[in-house]
Amino acid sequence: MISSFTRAAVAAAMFAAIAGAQSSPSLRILLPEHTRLLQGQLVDLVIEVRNATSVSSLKVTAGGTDLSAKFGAPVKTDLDCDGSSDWVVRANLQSFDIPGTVAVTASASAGGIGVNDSRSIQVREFNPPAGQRRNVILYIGDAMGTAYRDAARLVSRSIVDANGKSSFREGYFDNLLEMDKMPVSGMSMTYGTDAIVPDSANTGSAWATGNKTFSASVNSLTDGTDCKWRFNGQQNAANLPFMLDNPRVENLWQYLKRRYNYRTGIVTTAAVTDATPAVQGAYSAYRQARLEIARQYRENPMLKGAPAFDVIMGGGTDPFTAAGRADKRDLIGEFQAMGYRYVTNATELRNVSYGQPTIGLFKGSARPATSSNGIATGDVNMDVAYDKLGLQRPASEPLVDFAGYPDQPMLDLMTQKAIEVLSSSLTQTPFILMVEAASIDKQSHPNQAAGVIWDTIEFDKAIGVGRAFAAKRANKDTLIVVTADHDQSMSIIGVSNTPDAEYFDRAKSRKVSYTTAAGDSNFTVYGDSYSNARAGLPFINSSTGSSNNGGALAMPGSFAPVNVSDPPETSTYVTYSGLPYYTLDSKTGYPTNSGPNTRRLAVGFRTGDHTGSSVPVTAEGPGALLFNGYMDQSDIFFKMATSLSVDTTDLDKAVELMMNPQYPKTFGK
Amino acid sequence: MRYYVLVLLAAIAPPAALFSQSPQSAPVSQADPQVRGGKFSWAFLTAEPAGAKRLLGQPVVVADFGVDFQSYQYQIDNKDHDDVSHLVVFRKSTGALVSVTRNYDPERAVDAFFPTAETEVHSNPDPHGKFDILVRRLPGGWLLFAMGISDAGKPTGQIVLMRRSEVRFFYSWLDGQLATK
Repeated sequence: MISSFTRAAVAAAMFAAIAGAQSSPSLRILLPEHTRLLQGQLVDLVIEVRNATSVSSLKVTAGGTDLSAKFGAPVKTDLDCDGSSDWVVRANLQSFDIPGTVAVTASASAGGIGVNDSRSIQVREFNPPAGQRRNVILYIGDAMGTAYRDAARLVSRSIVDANGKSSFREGYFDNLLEMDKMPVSGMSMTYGTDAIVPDSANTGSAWATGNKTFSASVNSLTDGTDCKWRFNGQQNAANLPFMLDNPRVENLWQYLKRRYNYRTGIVTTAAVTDATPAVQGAYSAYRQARLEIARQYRENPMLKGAPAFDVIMGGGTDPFTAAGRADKRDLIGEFQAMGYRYVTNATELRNVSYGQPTIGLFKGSARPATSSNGIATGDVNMDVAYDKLGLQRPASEPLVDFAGYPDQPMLDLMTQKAIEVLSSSLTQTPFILMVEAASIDKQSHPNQAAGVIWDTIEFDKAIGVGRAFAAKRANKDTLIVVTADHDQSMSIIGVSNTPDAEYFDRAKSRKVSYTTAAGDSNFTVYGDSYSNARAGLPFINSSTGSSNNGGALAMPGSFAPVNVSDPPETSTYVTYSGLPYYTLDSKTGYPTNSGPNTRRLAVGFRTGDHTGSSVPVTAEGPGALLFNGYMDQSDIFFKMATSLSVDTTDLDKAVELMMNPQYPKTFGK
Repeated sequence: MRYYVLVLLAAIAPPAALFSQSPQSAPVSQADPQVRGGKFSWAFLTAEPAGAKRLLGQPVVVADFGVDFQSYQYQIDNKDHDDVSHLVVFRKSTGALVSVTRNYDPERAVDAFFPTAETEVHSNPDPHGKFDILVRRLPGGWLLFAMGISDAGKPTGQIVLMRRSEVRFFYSWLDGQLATK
């Protein structure tokens, strides 16, 4: 047996060999090959010099202009966690003012050896025509791929009235979703720099800054100290400086506020420091540095310490409280001292009107406390639409616990109030707002179909609020974009007629076990399984094919054995054919999920995680035609910017022409 | 109640294990350190490099980082889909184990692993990122950390087993403090 000492010696020797083989000095400009910026958009210029005893004679140019004087002194740093002698040189918050292709070059003497690097970056013009002051409302359905939109449509638009007439007949809808009615559609590719399946942080960074980055990063590019904390789990206060030293790229929200005095806002059903809202107001290579993200909302680095937003609404009170913060700052109090109105529930929110900057935090912990990692606190999202509506959860989905926050607003109310506040400044300054339906994703991770679908319906109502606002604007000055950050794996698999007695019965369940070479996996299956085929379970249908029988047989015992010769209407558990049948709750405007004739949409989940599929984009308003076709997610940033900064009259006329009745029109649109 | 056991191909096991409504149980015996007869033990401490890679089964993510590190990441009992329960780091060049990070959600007290007489408290000197770490020196050149606490009776979200010789790459300030004690 080899001793631990021998193993360590061998390891040390092999590592030394590797380190030695890579010991030549080198210089790297920390900008990606495909860097794109707006003119004047801030970015940290960071240069890493590896394997050098010293750094001198640094020269950096951009478009032939010498930027060397903007850089600080080289700072000795261990890059790549290999113990070598490395250096970092920074010029924070720089920008390029002349549009076009800009050659960035850097050279230095690294311990007497010349090293250099170069990049060619695109700088795009941003120069709004005189008098053009446009608004943007960006709607993000978190994980809202095509199937999620389809599910919301099929459930909310298959309403059967008291006379038995369905709003979904012969395969056509009387009335499509709000997002379906928007005239321009495209698809967005969501890949990150390090993976084809991204997360909400790097996808958000793409639309917010126009540049791609790595998973979990908020508007920050990769650097040589990521090894201190990424992949080894050492995300804590001691390593926070290494999460905040990455090159930052200014997002569109701060860009517009800093240069054009835009009013800015975020509305979400997640904690407001979650990744999707964070990309509009913070800069951190690690999305879970929640205390820092909250601090940057209050004192934003791109705005010389001024607040990032005029409107913040969502969950996640804790990181704004003294009790929840390691530094014991009361950020809510600080906002209030700066003139912000603070609301905590739907009743208070309904009384909000016009003008005054507003922070609405609608759910937190009973006792906020800083995590032992020193960088985060409770991550409390708002409750989902299905529960806020008081609908009974299907048997397999957890029962709601409002945890002392029973009066949470719906997303459409939050959106309405955010727009009222943002659009009513005395100076009529334009605004940019992001609205997120977060729990489409958060309910999709545990495969909770009811939670997913009703949240998507709620999201569509919030989109309706934005569309109504835009339609009333005399000068048609509001661009609305609806998209997702990434997809998840839900798909539409049919219709289930499981009776309520089975669908809601929590007492009736069946255990299913898989025995594999890797061990056993155990599932508990309830009667709602026919309308929610969870990841990992065998596909459940009425086929008598040999591979599917096990799935059907695994269902709760009251269900009759499969007999495909039975007419579908006599089936006691599932048809997977036919059309959905829902009734409307006239008080809430949402479909119910119960009743004697209900035929529920059946969905399936292949996994409980994100996918790398492209996601839909729809747009309406000035410049909407820019969002036609397949695009990269980072293009959304530039398309939004272009719609604000270019006279899009010709494009907008083309969209109007497209909607002329002489051209085919989709039923229900 | 009848139980049906479905024997499926091993290839479908990972998604099945990940998204079960019940916690996965297969590798749990290796998931946490133990104290038996007053002695600290964790299978990683005695496993050969290849064996250490197999202790927790199939990782959900394998990622290379730095010049010479490889991370195996697991989601065995984590609550949040964005979090992992274990991160096991190896040297790519040798396969040698560098560290095992065990995340707890909710946080828990770890006093059983940190007897007072064998435990040191170290603090990051950076005033902007003050951070306490409990350190226990284990045989064979290993250290056990409890992150973010100065008292083993207080709950922590993370313990870390790290080879002493690797500390300088991740916590240079702690490396200096350990050398002087």
